[in-house]
Amino acid sequence: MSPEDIKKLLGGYATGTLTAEERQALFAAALEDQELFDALAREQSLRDLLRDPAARAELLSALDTPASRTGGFWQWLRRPAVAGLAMAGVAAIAVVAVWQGTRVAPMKLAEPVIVADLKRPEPVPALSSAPPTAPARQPEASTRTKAGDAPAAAMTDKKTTLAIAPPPAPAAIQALNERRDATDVAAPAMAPPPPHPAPAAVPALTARKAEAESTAAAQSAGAMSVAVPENLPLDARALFYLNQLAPGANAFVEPSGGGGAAPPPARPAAPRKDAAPQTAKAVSGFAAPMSATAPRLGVRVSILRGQSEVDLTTVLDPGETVRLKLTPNADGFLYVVEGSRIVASGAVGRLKPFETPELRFEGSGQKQLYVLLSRRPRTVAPLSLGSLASGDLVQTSPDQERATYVVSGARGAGAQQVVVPVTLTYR
Amino acid sequence: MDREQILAKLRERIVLFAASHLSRDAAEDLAQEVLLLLHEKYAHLERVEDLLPLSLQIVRFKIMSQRRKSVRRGEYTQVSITDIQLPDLDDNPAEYVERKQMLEQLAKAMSGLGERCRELMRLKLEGKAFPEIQKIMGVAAINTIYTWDHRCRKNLLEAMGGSWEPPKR
Repeated sequence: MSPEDIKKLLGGYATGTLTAEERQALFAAALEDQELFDALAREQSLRDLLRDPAARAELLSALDTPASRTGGFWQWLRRPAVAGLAMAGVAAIAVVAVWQGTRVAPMKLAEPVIVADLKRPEPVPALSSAPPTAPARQPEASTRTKAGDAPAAAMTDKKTTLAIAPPPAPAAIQALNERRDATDVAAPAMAPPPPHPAPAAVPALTARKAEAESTAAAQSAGAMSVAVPENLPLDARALFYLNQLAPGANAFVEPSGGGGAAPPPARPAAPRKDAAPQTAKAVSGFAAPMSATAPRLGVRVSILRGQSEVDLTTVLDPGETVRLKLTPNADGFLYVVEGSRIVASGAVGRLKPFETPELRFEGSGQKQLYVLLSRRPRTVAPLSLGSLASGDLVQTSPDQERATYVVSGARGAGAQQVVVPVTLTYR
Repeated sequence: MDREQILAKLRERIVLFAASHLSRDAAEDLAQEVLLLLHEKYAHLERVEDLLPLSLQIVRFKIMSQRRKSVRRGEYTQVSITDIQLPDLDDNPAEYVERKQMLEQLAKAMSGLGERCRELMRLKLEGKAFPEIQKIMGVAAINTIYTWDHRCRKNLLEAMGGSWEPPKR
């Protein structure tokens, strides 16, 4: 036995369980090795104890009792591998904690929901024939609550309601002032008017009235209270997104009233004697641009060179493989045709990008493709698609975007499909 | 190795061991006392397997006796050889208390051992030799048992605070 192995016999010395050979080897080595002799001498007290049968019995009974969970756990925890794993785990947690602490969480703003806000005009004290009394105002208040809060109540409470109202136009304020003067003159038999409010409050009241009237007019037209100048030229991008603001722009079936997603029918504005001319004027002012911007199908087209997006006017390298990124402004079905074959097709969602498979064309020059956006699925004859491409398209390539917006022209407003020619230019 | 050679080796080892606990002169005297006792009372023992354990036991008793006497008399230096008494192998009250404390600590430490060490200790306390333990535990090599026992003994000693005996006051 090697000296190291002989030292392992020490455990048998105290219990007196060494064999004759082991004893001889151990003691012979101890005579020559002072360290081993000292170790044996230190074992002597244990040996003396274990020579007592009663002590042995007591220790055996202690061994028979199950090890305490705590003691076993600490023994297990003291193993080097376990301690190393624990340290690695603590270090990993610390790294993650530091990383999370130093990372700037991206701000995610809630997307505002644009809804129409119906505001009934409040009576102007200067226009009323008698001083307003509390009972007279009560029904109006309850009506406003029902009419004005009902659409908002239909919305989920979680969404933010954002009311967009045009600022009171100076012309409207002027018209109201004139009309108020005329009313005062035309009612001589009426009771004496109440005292005018303080001068500073008059402009505010007239402004609120103008705002209420214009809002009611917009509501009667079934449109948003978005101020669109009558003669404003709209480019393709504006038309592309304007369709999203008009209720029912994405619906090709009239709402039956049962669908939760269908917009509520426009509530006719309550006729008012004194507001009739202004309402008609406001309606005519809004109806014209809104009808001109009736739902028009359109597609936002761009080229994907790898992961980067470029405009359609980009000159491509010969044999370069690209993809088309197509974003429709309405739910429907997209078909991408090149020559006699359909290179891509599928159902698309409003403002959800649709990417074609990789397109590869040999040679140089221009390659003509056609993109058909249809509200309904249809059978496409690739060769005849070019003939369906109408010249009545509005196309815009905004400077701030690397894409081209193509929208139906005025004659195509309300159409169920649009065919957009896409030309790829190869060097 | 004959008896004289064994006793000569024993004396050398005892002196060095006792010198680590007592003064050098006391260690020399202690070794002389042990050899004297072995010569007078255990002259029939000739093998190292008998002489060495016996001498270690005598050394332990004498060292314990000297410590008690030094504490009792306030002596922390040398002890006169005339005061070193022959060992009394019967238990005395002080030794009984020390044994009791040691047994309690040992039982507590053993109960905290791992399952394999507890099994190994149980077999040893039952008087099983290492070859028998090897068979019972189904281990191929006896060296594996030696290694396990070495580690278990080390763990037990650590649980006891590094020494089998209770700390001296």
